[in-house]
Amino acid sequence: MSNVSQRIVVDATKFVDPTLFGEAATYWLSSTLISTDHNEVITDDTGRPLQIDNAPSTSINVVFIEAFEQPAPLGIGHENTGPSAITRTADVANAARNDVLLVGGVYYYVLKAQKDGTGLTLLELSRTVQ
Amino acid sequence: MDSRLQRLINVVKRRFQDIRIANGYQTDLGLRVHLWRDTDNVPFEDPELPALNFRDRSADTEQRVSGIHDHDITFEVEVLTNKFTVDHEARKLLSDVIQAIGVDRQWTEPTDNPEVVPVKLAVDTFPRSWEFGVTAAGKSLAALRLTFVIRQRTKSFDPYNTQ
Repeated sequence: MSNVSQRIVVDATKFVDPTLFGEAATYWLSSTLISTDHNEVITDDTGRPLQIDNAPSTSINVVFIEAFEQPAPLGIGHENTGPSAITRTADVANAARNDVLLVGGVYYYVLKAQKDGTGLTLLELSRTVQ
Repeated sequence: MDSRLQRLINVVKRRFQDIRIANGYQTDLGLRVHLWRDTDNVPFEDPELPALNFRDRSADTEQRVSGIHDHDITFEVEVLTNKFTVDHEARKLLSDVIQAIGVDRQWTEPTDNPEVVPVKLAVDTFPRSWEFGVTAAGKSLAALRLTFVIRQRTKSFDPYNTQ
């Protein structure tokens, strides 16, 4: 019989499973994409990191959420301009700003990673390096 | 010279900016404190959250027989968060705001000069109400709106002095 933490990991894995809610994606740590000439992640005109071909990557599953606008509760002005992705915390344990997520053929850059404490992490994404 | 109301607003803002984990609070809400931000025209964006916006919305003034005015100033505090477990986070933020308000109900004006007697800018502070709202259309957001009243005393028709 599994304990609670084991069940949470199993649930997180199921949640991002491509046969359920998730889709396959590829993840690169920003530290592996930094151009030695500029000491930062450099991209081409399409947003693709220049160093990506030689950098190690990880295959992960994510639940991708498109960018959209959403009114905030109590009428407080809020503008949601960015896409996001939910994935297993174990897959992005060392997530950092400007890590790269390739999903649906589009490169996204991590703005912020928020662990929810139950085995999932929300990645706030941007189409451009920040 | 600033009016006593302006001096009070400065102290309130500084108090909210003190909401930091390093100061014994549960959150670092004090990193993003706004005063009268027009969120209709300058809405919050996700990377800014959680954030606090407050307003000295209105006041009721009473004339006392002794030639003083007591102003009951209603403050409205709005907090918005997009943390993953938004309702839990919002309660933490609410607790921090309530705790910050109660640190000193007379809103003493800080001074760097030890020879200057600190000025208490208010008579007292009174809680009023709070409300929550949560939306989960895609991303989750939680908002809270809290109101409280600070009673400030001035000379009649003199916003700058008490005596």
